[in-house]
Amino acid sequence: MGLEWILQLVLFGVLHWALAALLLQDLANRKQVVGKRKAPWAIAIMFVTFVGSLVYMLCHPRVFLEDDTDENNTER
Amino acid sequence: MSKTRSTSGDLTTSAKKRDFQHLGILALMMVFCSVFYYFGEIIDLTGWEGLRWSFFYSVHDVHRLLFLIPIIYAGYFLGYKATALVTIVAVGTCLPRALFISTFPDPLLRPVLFIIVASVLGYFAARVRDLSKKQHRSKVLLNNKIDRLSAILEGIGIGVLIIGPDYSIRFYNRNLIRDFGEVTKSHCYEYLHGLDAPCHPVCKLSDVINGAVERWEYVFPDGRTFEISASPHIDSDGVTCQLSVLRDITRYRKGDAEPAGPTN
Repeated sequence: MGLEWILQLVLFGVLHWALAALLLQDLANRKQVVGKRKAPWAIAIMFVTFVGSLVYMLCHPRVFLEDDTDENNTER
Repeated sequence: MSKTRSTSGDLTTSAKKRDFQHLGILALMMVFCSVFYYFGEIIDLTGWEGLRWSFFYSVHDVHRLLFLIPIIYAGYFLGYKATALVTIVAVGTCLPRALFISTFPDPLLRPVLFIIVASVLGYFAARVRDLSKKQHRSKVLLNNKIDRLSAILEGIGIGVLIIGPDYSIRFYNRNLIRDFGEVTKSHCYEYLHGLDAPCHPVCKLSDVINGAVERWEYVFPDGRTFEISASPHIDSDGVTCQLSVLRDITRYRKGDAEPAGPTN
């Protein structure tokens, strides 16, 4: 296995785990998920590289929206 | 109270609707960019010879640049998280072609450079959004506080006037209009006394701007007596001004009775 292949794998790995980290954090904070069970989603995000994450994002588009929880608490 | 709640609910609903519109546009952009990026391969698969342009088979970096549009869009309209997700998805979409199909040199270096450029641009777009949101929020908060303060002052019937060091009227409240009419002149001496020049014998502006707190009574030509309290005030632009509080005490002076203090 050449150096280029290793670097390609590292790049894929970094991208995959960066995406997985963002989505797993969202999954953990989410009260309801499609299918009602979180475990299959976690497995799909972690082990079905990119495709699992893409499907999760398509089923839960709110993952793209930020929590502006402080917005309503500015006025005291 | 219920009206406020309903207004806030309407705002949240419209914000949600707007966010989902942005998501829809983002999804369309991603689909378009992906189709455009792989259009050469799509032509190969479908055999659309009429569309076999050499551009689709040229170096991929040009095609990849199109992904910067959804990345910046996500950053500007949806924030940091969205731009990070869209950047990763864009790179994930580009990588198979860059690494396995492209015949051009340095297939790894160029996507890495793209990731860096896209992340930086996305970050800045999200930062601009963040700053403008914060600015808008503090503006709303400030306006609310000003409205609240004005309502309190109007409730206790006191006229408020902020005068700049050049005698210009910077702020006035509704009670002042009630007592002296619409503010049509830009300087205090023109508006309050109908003069063309500052009224030096009575004017305490320079003392107040230098830090003094003054209180005096003044009888206007129409016979009304006002109790005026003046103190230094640093305006929003950092300029020291005179904050004057004017209280009509004519009826107390006429009856020689002491005016009652403001009610709590």
